[in-house]
Amino acid sequence: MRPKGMADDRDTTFVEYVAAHMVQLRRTAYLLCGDWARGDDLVQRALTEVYVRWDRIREAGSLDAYIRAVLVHRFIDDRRRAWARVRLVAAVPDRAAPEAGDPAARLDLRSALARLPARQRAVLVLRFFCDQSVEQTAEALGCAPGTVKSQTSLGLAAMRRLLTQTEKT
Amino acid sequence: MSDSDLSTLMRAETADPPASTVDLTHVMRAGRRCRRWRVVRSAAGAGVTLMAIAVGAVVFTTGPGTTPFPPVVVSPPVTVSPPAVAKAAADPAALVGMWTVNGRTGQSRPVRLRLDWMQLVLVHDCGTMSGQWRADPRGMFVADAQAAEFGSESCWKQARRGDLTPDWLAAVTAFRIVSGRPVLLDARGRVVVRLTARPFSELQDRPPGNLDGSRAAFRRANPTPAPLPAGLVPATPASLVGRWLSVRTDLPERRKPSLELGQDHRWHADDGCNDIYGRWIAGPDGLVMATGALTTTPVGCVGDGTPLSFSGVARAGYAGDILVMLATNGIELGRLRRASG
Repeated sequence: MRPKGMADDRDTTFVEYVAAHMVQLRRTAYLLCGDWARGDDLVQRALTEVYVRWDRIREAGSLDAYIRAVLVHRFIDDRRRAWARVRLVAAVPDRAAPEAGDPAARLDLRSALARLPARQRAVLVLRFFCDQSVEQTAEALGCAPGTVKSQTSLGLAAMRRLLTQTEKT
Repeated sequence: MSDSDLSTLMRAETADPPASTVDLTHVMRAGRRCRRWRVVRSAAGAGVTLMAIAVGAVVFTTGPGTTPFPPVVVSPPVTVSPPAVAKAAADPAALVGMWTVNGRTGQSRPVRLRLDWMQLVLVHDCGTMSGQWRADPRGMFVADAQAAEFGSESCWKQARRGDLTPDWLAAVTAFRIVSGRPVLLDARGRVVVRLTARPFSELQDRPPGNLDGSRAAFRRANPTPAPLPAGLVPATPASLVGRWLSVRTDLPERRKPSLELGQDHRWHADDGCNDIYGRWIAGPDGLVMATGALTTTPVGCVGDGTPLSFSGVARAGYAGDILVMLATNGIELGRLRRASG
């Protein structure tokens, strides 16, 4: 049986870490999902997974990289099992209030990101939002650095094309 | 667009996040529960490994979520139990409500069941499930769970099995109102569970929240099906079981559009590109009720959508050996032929 003091310390360090990183985690999840509510769900599930292994992870160091990797993997898994989220509703839920800022520009980026394959989107978010190197991104995704390079190149080209198309229309 | 442009766009896009809905208390509670399960699983795994070594066997385990939906059982098509049809008319709208489920549900705490005018929501040990249900004045009832919010090991196991519908709910094919209280029955007329009323507004986030309005909506959405047109022979439950194919002859051989009706009351349809899974029951006079959700995006394909229309069937009959499916208003949904062999 784990002594109570250790469990308390475990929870305290976990809460402290999450409080300091929550905003960035939510932003990353949002860019992956394109939806704040789904992004929050993703963060919640990733954090649950991290909490279960918290003792080992914090001892091993590189917490940020680990949590980002969990987040990205859960996102990719979700996309593979999209059928599991099929939800039949009797009525359309209330619509959200209009967003602040330039809605057109927001929509452009969001819709362009949404049209990329999941792994390509994850590569772009990790590289250009989380400022991760090619090697760090490869480690998070569990692939070769060469794959990250090619996915980055393909993703950027696709984004360029999609955003230019939107500007023309 | 340069790399830095993309970074700038991403930062601008996320500059103003709405209030967080991440619940850290829930995270830690679920995490603790999961840790306990890991201990149990590890101990069980060790026991299994020792046994495997003892008998010289090797035990393999698979990852979660990898099992496809189990195949619908269509062979041999000999027995399928019709629902226990009520002698006196029952009001299916009386089922609309929020209920405590009393009976052998396999859950440690009482299951709560909300039947909206079209959707159902189940709140049980491992979280929330939602699905569809159908009922008619003859006392026929069919329901399934099509989506779940996973929160524990038991939900995870259900997900691995592919069919989310709990066993007790899958067994229900009829209902009765006894002394004002709904009772759900199996095909032999045995009580599966009894329902006790709870406040309808209990689940605030599930529209609509008005009991009378929801019952009225149910009645509007479920009128009495039009009778079978003259010349059609009413389909019986046993005769429907099996595999049915598109009557079109101009389709590619690779993936034939088909409808499979299982004797276990599950059904599966494929238009050549998309699938629907659900549950079905059939009663007298060709009455059929089905639940079903499209589990893939409807995309254009060289196929035939007729099998998918079984989700909207209200009556079925035969024109010779061709199955004719009809909607509630009597409009023909499509025709299918029985697969040979």
